[in-house]
Amino acid sequence: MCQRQKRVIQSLCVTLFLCLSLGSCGKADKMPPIDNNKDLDGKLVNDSSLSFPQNYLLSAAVPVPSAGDLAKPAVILVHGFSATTFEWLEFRDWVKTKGDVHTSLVLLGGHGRDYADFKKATWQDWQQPIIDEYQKLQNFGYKIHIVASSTGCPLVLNMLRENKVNPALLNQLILIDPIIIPANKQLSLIPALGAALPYTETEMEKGEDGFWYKYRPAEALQQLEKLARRERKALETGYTLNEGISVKVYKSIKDAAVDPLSAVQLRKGLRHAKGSEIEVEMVESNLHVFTRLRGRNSFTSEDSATQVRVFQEIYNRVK
Amino acid sequence: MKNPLLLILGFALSSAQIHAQMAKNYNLNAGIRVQKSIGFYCNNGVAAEFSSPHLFNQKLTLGMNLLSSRLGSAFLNHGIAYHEIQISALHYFRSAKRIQPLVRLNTGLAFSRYGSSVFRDIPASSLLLSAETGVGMDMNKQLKFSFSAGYNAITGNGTRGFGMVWPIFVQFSALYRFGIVTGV
Repeated sequence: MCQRQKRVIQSLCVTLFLCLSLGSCGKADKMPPIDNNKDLDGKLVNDSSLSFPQNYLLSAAVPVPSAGDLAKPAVILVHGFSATTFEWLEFRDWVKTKGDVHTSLVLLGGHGRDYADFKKATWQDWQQPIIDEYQKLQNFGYKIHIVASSTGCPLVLNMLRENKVNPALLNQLILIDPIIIPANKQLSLIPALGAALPYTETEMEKGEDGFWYKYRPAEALQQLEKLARRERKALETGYTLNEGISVKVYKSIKDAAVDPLSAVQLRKGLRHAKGSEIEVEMVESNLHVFTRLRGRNSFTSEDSATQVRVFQEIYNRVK
Repeated sequence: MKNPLLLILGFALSSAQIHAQMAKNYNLNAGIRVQKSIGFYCNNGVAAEFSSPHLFNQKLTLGMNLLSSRLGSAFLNHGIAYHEIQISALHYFRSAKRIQPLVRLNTGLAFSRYGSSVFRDIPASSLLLSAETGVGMDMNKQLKFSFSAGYNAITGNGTRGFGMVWPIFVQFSALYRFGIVTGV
């Protein structure tokens, strides 16, 4: 090959590299077509708990708890990826009628705000408000329970496993459709595709507008993949929860977001303090986070019955 | 015949030479395969490759892989036991050279055991169909390495299809060349 041919090939390679790099950079910064008037991703719509924390967080609602308040159990409710406190409103409203259980709805960090906040938040940022609320309730002296859904589950498991909170006051840990192994296996390719695919769009159901992020930045998906992989690996190694914590996992069998293998991995890798197996129930449902029906286009009478049954079981466990 | 011993010896030597020439054309390589799904499990196990003059004049190599997560990510831990039985057809380009680009088509079966009847409704097996491309390297007369990346065409989300098979994987094989196969 002569010198001239070599130079031509080198120039072509450099040009191709620059084109790919510039093309990728341009795409990575591309903003989705957010409708500010109705999308949570925009600047106008935010989760209400940001403006009125006293309506959601127990620590804000009851800043100086009485002995009577402390006698009632406190249930921290943790939502999933791209969702908001909306995900647990039905349970809060249902349990309020019982009158003897406190609830505290935590909004994950980077959630319920706007696209830019979601894009820049790490999974540790998502987790921080759970830790903060847990510590406040612990300092007050509440008997604490946690009910988490989807991505909320690995966040809570990580928090307990890495001793980010003192688990001494935690009793019941209830996990609804925990994500340990995602259903969409392409999630593993996000680090490679991130530059070419800056965000994905979620098909929202009518009643979900303003309560879920519609656009999921590659950065946030990457954080989700990182968190799920980290907790899966920890479960593969196996670990034991602290004394006094009792775990129940509910996993929808036909869940398009979370592979039911997540429940298999949890049952294999997570143990109660005395070595006993955790309780796992596979739920006959097509819904991801079957405990939330509000905002869905449609659901069956079986879905309603399952929701109430599980609400009752959660109540029985925490009471 | 003045010296029947020499005749026998000559016959024996020529037979051995013919056998050796024929046997050279039958290649049996066997060894280990390390396979990693991107973002998921490492499945390791044994691999074998066979080529013969009768298989498209040695242009086609047949392969077989037996892989298990018990020899990889689920080795002596709480990972999910997952196994693959693969048969393959592969072609090495530039087979007379040291560096040999390769293409490979695998099919077979993947299956798991979940260890509890609670999980009886979760898919626990799947057909495998994957394509690989990479490079083989003859390290010396006896040892062959290959590196390749592959794509699983059949994957599942745990609801529709088996969730243990992930789309992209990479593999490394180290094969020992046994070379001689009887049946000449």
